[in-house]
Amino acid sequence: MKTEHTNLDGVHRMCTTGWIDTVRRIVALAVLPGALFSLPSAAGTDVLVVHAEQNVAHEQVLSTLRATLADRHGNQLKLRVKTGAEFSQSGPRETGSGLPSLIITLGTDAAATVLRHRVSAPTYCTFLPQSAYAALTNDSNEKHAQHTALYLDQPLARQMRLIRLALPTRTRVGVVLGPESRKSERDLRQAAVSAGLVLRVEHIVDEKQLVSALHRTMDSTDVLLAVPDPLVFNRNTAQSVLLTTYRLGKPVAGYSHAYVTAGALLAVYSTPAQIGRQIGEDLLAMLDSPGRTLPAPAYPRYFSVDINDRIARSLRIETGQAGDLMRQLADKSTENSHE
Amino acid sequence: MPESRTAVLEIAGTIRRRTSLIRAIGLLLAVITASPVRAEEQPLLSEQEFLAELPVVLTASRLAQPVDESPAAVTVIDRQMIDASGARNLSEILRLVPGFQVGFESGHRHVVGYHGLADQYSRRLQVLIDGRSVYLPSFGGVSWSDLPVSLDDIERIEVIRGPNAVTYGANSFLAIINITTRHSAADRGGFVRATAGSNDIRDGVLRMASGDSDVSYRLTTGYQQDNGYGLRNDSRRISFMNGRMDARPGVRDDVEFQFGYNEGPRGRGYAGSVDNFPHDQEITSRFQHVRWRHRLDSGDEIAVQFYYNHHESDEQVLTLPIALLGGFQVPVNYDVKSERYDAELQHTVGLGETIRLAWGAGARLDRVEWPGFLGSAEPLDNHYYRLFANIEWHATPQLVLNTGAMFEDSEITGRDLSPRLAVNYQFTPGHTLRAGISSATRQPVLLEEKANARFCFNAACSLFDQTYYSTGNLDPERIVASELGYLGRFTPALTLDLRVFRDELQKLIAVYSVPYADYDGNTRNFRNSGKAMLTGSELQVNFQPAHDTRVILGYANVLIDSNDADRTLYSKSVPRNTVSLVALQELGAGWQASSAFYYLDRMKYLDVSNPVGAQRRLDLRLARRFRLADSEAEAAIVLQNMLGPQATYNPAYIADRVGYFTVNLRFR
Repeated sequence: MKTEHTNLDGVHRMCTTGWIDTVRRIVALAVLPGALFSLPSAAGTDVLVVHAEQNVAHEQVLSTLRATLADRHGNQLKLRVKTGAEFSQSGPRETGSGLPSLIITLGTDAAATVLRHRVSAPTYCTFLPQSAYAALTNDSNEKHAQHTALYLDQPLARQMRLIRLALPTRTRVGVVLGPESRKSERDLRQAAVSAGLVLRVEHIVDEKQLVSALHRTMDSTDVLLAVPDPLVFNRNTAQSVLLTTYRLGKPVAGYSHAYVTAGALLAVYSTPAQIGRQIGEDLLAMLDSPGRTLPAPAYPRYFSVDINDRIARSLRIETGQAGDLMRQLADKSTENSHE
Repeated sequence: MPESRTAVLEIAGTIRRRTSLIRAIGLLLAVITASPVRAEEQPLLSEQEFLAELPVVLTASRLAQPVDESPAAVTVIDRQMIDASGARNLSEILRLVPGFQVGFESGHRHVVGYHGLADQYSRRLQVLIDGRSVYLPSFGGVSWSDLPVSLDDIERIEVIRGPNAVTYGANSFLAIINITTRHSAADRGGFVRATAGSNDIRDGVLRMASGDSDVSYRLTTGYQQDNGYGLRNDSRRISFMNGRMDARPGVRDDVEFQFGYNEGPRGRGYAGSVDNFPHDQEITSRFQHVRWRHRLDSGDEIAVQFYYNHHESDEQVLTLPIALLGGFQVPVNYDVKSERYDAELQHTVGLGETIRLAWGAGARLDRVEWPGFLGSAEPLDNHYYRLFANIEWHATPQLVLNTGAMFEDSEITGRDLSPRLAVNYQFTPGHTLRAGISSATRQPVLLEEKANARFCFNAACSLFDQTYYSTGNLDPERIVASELGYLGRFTPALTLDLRVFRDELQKLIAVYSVPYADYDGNTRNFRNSGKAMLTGSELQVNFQPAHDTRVILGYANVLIDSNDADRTLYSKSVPRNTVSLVALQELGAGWQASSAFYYLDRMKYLDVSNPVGAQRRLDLRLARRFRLADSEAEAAIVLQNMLGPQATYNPAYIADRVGYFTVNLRFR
C-alpha cells in the first residue's frame, strides 16, 4: 500500500494544470479513440469486473448490474468478477483466454489497481469520485488504452441547484476546501453563478483549521455545502462540521445519505443500486451502438435526495418534499450529467 | 510520520498567512521538532467517503427546540441585531425585546424590567450566561456592569418572555435572559476595539484566540469608562478579563471551561449628603465555570456543569460629623461579599421517535458576608436543591406537547413545586398556535429574609438608626402565567410572533415600615403581601426581505391590577405601551446604517418616589467595513438618545445625548 501512495503522490506534485483541463483531456482521450475500440462479436463479449474487496455496497452494484443486463447476461455477455488482490496476482486474463473486452472497476482502489497495471483492454472506472479518477488518469493516460468513468459523486451544478430549490432564500453558500478539493474551486464558482447563488470559499491545509474556517465562512453565508476532501473534510470531521454549523443555526448540504442521518439538512447522492443500474444500461448501450464507443466520463444519471426533517424543524426551515425536489432536479439532470 | 506531516503543514500555513506571534512561535517549534521533510502522502478520495455510516451527531436530545415548538415565547437577538442596536452595554440590548424597560439608576447600575415590577435590582428576572446564573444572592437581581463579558464575545441572546422554571431553574420568574457567548474557535486570531466619545467614553477590547478542532481557547480583556449621568458622581472605570476554552477530548465529549474577572471603581453618592457623599465603590466580580457534555451510544446526552461566582463590593465610609450626635462620625459599612457554588446534572433521553425527556438535578450554596446589613460578620449560607423534568412529546408531526415540573428545596422557604404544560399546534405549515400554563417561584434573597442593618452613634455602637430588620419566614413569590401564542411565517422574509397573556402574581415580597425603638422610631421589614394580575399582549415582527435589509418591531401592551400593598405601587410600575423598532440597511461598499427607536409609556420604578414620563429614544449608527492590510476592520459612529435629554429611571436624573466613535480590527 505504501508504494502505491508514494506513486500517487508523485502524480499530484506533477499536476499543475487546473482540473478543467484535466477533464478536457480525459474527455478527449476517452471519446477520440472510441472509434478504435470495438468489442469482439457479441457472443464472445467478456467483461471483467474488478472491485477492491467484498463489501455490501459493491455487492449491491453487482446485483443491480446483473439484473439490468437481465437475459443478455450469460447469453451474449460473460461477466467475470475479480477482487483487486486477485487482479494484482493474476492480471486481467483468465487462464487460457485473451484479454477481456472491457474491464469495469468498482471504487477508487480497484481503478487505481487496474489503471496502474496498464492493461490494454478498455476500462470503465465506476463508482469512484471524480477527483480520484482525475488524479489517476492524469498519471497513466499516456500508456493506457481507452478508459472512461462513471462517477459516484454528484455534478456540482446538481448540488447547487438542490440548494436553490430547497432553500430559495438561502442564496449565500459557504464551502471549506482542503488541499485536494480546492482543485474544484473554479467549477464550484461557475456552478454557483449558474444556480444564482453567491459562493464564499475558505481554504485550509490542515484539519485543525476546520472549525475556525467554518465560523469565518458561516458568518456571512446561509448554508454550508460539504465538499469532501480526504485530508480535511471527511467522515472523521463530520462531527465538527455538524456541531459547529448547528450551533450557528446554519444547515449543511451533505454529500451522502449517512451525512443526512448524522445531522445534515439534505443531500443529493447516488445509491450503489442506482450506479449499478447505470453501468448496466451503459454497457447495453455500448453493445448496441454501431461503433461500440466508450461513453464520455459522466456523473450519475440516477440519484436520490434526502431531507432530515428533524433538522429542518429544529432550524425552522421548510425545504419541500424530497420527492418533489428530486423530480425537479431530474428535469435538469440530463444536461448536467456530462461534465 | 504523522508528527512530521503536522509540522510541515504548520509551516505551510504560517508562511501563507505571514502574521501572528503565536504562529511565529508555532513555526519555530515546528522547525525545531520537525523530522526531515518527507514527501506528503496525498490520499485519494475513496467511494467509502460517500457510503460509510456516520454516527448520528445531531441526535434528538442534542437538537434545540425550534421557536415554534418551544413551550414559551422567545425573542432571539443575534449578532446582527446587537451590532445594529449601537449598544455599548449589555442591558441596553434588552430594549429590543417586547415588554422590556431599561433605565439607569446611575452610570453603572442599570435597571432592567419586564412588564414593570422592577426596582434597581431587577430581582424578578433570571439571567444566564452560557447556562450560569448571574443572579446575585445578596441584593438579588443582576448587576449588569459587573459582568466580565464583552459584547463582542456574545453570539446571541435569547429572552424567554414568561416564567420557565423547568428549563432555567429558580427565579426564572417574569422572564429569562439567556446569553450565549461565541465558541472559542469562532474567532481565531486577534481582535482589537477602541471606542471614544462624549461623556468621557473610553472603551477598549483586546482578544486573542487560537487552537484547533480539538482544543481552542480565547482570552479577552477590556476596559470601559464613562461619566454616567455626567453631573453626578456615578462614573465607572471598569477593567475586565475573561477566558474560554473548548476541548473535545473524545468524539463523544465536549468540555468547556470559562473564567472571568471584573473590577474597578464606581462612583456613588451625592454632593451635600451627610452619609452618602461622593465616594467610590470598589467592585470585584469573578467566576469559574466548567461544563461537560457526553453523548451516549443511544444518542442520549449527559451534561454536567459546575460554577462558582464571586461578587465583592468594598464601600466603607464614615459619615460627615453629625451635630445631633455631638460631631460623631457614624461608621457606614456597605461591604458585601456574595458567593454562589452551583452544580447541575442533566440527562436528555429519547424515548422512541416522538418523546424526549430531559431531567436533572442541581445543588447550590449561596454564601453572603454582609456585616452592615445582616447584623453579623459571619457569613450566612443558604442551601438549595432542585429536581426537574420535562417531556416533549411530538404527538403528531403538527402537535407538540411540553409538560414538566421543577421541585425545589430551599433552606429559607422549604419545598415548592413549579409545573407547566404547553401545547403547540401547527395548523398549517409555517403557522403555529401555542397555549400554555406555567408557574415559577422567586426565592427571597438574603436581604429580604435576614436583613439587620443598624448604625451606631458612639464607639460602643449604641443604636442610632435601625434601617432594616427582617422578621424572616418569607415564602417565595409565585407566578402562574397562562398564554395563547401565535407564530406565523408569511413569507420566509416575514415572521410574526403574537401572544396574549395573563400572569397572576402572588406573595410578592414588599418592604414596609414598622415602629422601632431608634432615633427615627421606625425600621423596614419585608412581607409577602403584594398581589398583581398582569394581562396584555405582545407582538414581534421580523422583516428581512434581503440580506442587506432588516426591520424588527416589538410591541407590548400591559395592564396591571394590584393591591399595591405596603405602599409598593406595583400598579404604577408597568408602562402601558412599549415599542421598539430597529431598522438596518446595507448601503454597499461596506457601508451599513441602522436606527433604533424606542417608546415607553409613563411608569414608576418601585424604589423611586416619582414616575418618569413617557420616553422616546432614537439611536443612530453608521458603520463601514473595510480591509486594512491583511485585517478586516470596521469603523462606526453611534449617536444615542437623539430626541433629547430625558429621564429613564428617576425624573431627577436626566440622560443627555451621547455620541461615540468605535473602530475594530480583526486580524489572523
